[in-house]
Amino acid sequence: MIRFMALLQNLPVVRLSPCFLLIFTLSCGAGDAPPFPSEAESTPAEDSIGERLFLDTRFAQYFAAHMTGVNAPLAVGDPVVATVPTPNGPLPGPFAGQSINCRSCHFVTEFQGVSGAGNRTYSDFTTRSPIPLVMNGFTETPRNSMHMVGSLQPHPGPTFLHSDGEFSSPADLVAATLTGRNFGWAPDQYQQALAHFAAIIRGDDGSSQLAKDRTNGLSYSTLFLGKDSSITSDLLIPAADRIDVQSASNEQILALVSKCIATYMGDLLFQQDEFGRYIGSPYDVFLRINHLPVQPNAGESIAQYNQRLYKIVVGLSNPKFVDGTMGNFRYHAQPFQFGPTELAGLKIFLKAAAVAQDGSQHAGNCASCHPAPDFSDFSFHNTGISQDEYDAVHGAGAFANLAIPSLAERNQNYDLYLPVTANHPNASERFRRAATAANPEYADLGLWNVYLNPDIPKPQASLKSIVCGAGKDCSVDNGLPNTIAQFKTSVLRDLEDSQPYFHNGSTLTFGDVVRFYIRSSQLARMGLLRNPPSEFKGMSLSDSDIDALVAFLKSLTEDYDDA
Amino acid sequence: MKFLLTLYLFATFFVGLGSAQERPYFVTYSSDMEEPGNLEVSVKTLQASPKFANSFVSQTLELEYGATAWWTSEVYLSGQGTSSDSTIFTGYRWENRFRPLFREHFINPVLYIEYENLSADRSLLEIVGNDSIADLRIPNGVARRDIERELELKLILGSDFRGWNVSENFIAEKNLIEPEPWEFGYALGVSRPLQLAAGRKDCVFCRENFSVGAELYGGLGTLDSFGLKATSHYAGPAVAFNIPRGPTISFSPNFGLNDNSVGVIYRFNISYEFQQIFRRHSR
Amino acid sequence: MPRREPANSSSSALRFAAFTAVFLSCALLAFAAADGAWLRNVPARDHEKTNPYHDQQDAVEAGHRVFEDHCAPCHGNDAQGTSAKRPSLRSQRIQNDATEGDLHWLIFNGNLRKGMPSWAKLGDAQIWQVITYLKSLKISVDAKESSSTTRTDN
Repeated sequence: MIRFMALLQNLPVVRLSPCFLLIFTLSCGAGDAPPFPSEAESTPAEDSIGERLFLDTRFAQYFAAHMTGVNAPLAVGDPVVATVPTPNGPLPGPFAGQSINCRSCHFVTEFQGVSGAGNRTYSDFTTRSPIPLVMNGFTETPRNSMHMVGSLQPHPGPTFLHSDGEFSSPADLVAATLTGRNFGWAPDQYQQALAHFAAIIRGDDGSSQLAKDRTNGLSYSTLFLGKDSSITSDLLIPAADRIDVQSASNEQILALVSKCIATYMGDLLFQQDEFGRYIGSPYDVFLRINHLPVQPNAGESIAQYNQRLYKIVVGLSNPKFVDGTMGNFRYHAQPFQFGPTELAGLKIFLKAAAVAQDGSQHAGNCASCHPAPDFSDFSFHNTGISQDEYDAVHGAGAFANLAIPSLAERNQNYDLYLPVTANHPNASERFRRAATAANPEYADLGLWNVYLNPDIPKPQASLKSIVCGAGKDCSVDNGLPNTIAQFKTSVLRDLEDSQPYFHNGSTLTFGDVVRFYIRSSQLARMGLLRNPPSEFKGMSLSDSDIDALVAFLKSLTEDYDDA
Repeated sequence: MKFLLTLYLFATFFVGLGSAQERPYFVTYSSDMEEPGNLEVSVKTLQASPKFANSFVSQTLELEYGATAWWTSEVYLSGQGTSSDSTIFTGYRWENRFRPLFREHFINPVLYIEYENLSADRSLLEIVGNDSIADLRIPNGVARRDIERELELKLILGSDFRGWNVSENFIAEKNLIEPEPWEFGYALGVSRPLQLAAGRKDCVFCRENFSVGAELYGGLGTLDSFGLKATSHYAGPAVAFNIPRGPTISFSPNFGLNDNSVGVIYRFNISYEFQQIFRRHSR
Repeated sequence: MPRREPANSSSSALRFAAFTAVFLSCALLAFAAADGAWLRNVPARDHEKTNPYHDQQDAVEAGHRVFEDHCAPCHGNDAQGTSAKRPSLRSQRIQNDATEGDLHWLIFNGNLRKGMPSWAKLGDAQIWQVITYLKSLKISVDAKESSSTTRTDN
């Protein structure tokens, strides 16, 4: 032993040789990027209570008209929720025997594993959703149910909800929906709706299965008062928000309920780690394992990040591809992969054509409206869907010739042109309708219905900042013509769980979506698209790009459920 | 810059006959303890431009006090500035290290225990677990929301023979608040003064005042996934210049050894040892 | 979305604080006053070691420099000592009783319980140079001396 020690003392290098070995082994295989850490955050009480309110079926007009008691189930349910329409035919509705709730147009796992259906990201399966009460000839909502997940993703700039920007905060949207047409209330029934709503909240006793599942069997009045000792810490709302529903006004109750549901909606986000980095889809895994930047650097705009990402992706040599060993889908049949085709699609997605004369440049310029990592700019654009829908019925060029009034004429003749509101219950809503052969006056002009609409005051300031932002020409009618046929940009993540697509649910597959854009950008190049988006100038796509783009859009799929 | 100037002026008021025989290490700890009664003040600076991220500078002020001949206590204050982002204070650490054996041995162990309270920290004073370059791309505003309160334990082993110092550190770190697993790391250092025997005359730029060495350090995964998978590692040379009766200046470029690591990190240190700070009156 | 219980976070921090307090208080109890007990503990092999720089004038000058840099802050510029715990090195014990090998052992290992740090990091060459310097000093009876061997240890 002593000799061994003496030997070692004379050879310091011997002590270090394991270290040299370590250095050599380090260069092989240790460079795999670690997964992004995800910390479990505690859920605020308003989130859990909001989820119960989201599912509660007693706020609808049908329940008000047919109820025997606040806590008693209905004898016969509203037929509108008995079945759920899908492209493959109707399926039994999960709320059959009850009346409508928020969830009936915003499903999550109700149809998990059902063939022809499956999980949703808080949307439904049909083009436009059926509503309980037929009014002004409407049997459905004007627009396709938008997927809610990701719609309240924090982002720079104002927030808008609904395809046409009707609401600038989730609380406003909730209050309007609970007392509005989607729940069966006519526009002149606001006070009735409010009174019924408050009566349900006051009278609830927490005896329903829903209350047991979500709020420990506690009633709304107990939860909102927040003083009972049996309320666990995860259901205890902050002291500043508590109200006594028995003595509070109906408006106060509605405000707190809206806040609860809004909190719940705000938590509906795609999988992210604690630093806001997306982690769920094969695309996200691809970025991470290739050590690519996943979000803008500080001081860098989102547009700059996308341009930088494009250069990096184009310059990638020997990229690592994602396969089934790096992740798997529980709710999707597609393979968990990001391979060469998806990478080609990403390049097309990010590339902006210099001056697009034709469709040959393999440049989608998609990131100009759908920038990574959120894949939405949370703003409004006209992609030509309304024109496509109108011309399909009335012939090519018909939409371009449709007479659309000026600002003054529109606002002075509210009932002729604008949507139904409490002040104008008999308005025609002709420009918030699907185009139909029966009536050439019907078209869907999107944001045009809301912008500078005197009956919709709340979002106007934010809308003005978008419509008349930098580089926009608002010299004519304060920019109203710029808003013709503009609709909100949707988030492109996990679109597998929210078809059909676009505000009118007109396309069922990704291939159809890309084909539509090829058509529409070609119309724009020929000067035939009414109110074309400037972003189409950078779009140069042809049929050869479809497979790659479809593969890329599929790589944004992730498993979403409400767990 | 202002800070360094202030530090220099502060130091010149103390005409201490002190010159530190310092190792050139930045990450590795040797088994040397701080002499009892001495206070060493260091400013460690780090600069890096990680791929695809904003470049940054991090500074740490270290106050190392020899409490007894077998116990050294040290406080660290860290901050960082990231270009196009912000400059922030990132937190503090408090470290104590102990010599459990009272004689010199072939391998000298030192036990190290440290409490860290850090957020958005980029001082890279150790690499543990699955730390990687991706952490350095997160904007400060987001990173600051995560406050890490951690316990760090190190086993320090050091040996000196024929003038060579070989030090090994084995690191285990645990977040005290979050349910995260133990993270492990290592650091290895080798160094030697350029001349072992002292010369007859005072001199400044002579070999006896220089030490050179090299370090290798990196992460070893977590308790759930121990090993080299998904970890980052660095290696690089180091040089220290002990100015007689003055500060010690060190420099070390560290090179990342895989794609998880930053390409190159430049480290720079100035330290000054105040001799017998509580015993001025007895001179 | 199921309700999540908030994490219990304070117990970890409390346990750590308690552990550190107990550990440190045990450690502090081990401190004691200085005396010459170390001399009795030097192993025979070290006691007999010879100084390669024995009596060399170059080494005396070099050792003086090393002494000024590292030893003078505690033992004084003239090695007269500054306190009972930092004794004079011109004492009988250092100059006559201890061999150069004894001094090498003390400087190399230190006397950690009594507050003398280990100077192994200087390397053998500089330690021998310091010893050469020390042995060149004259004994001084006025110097502060550490407690003599007649005083009983604590």
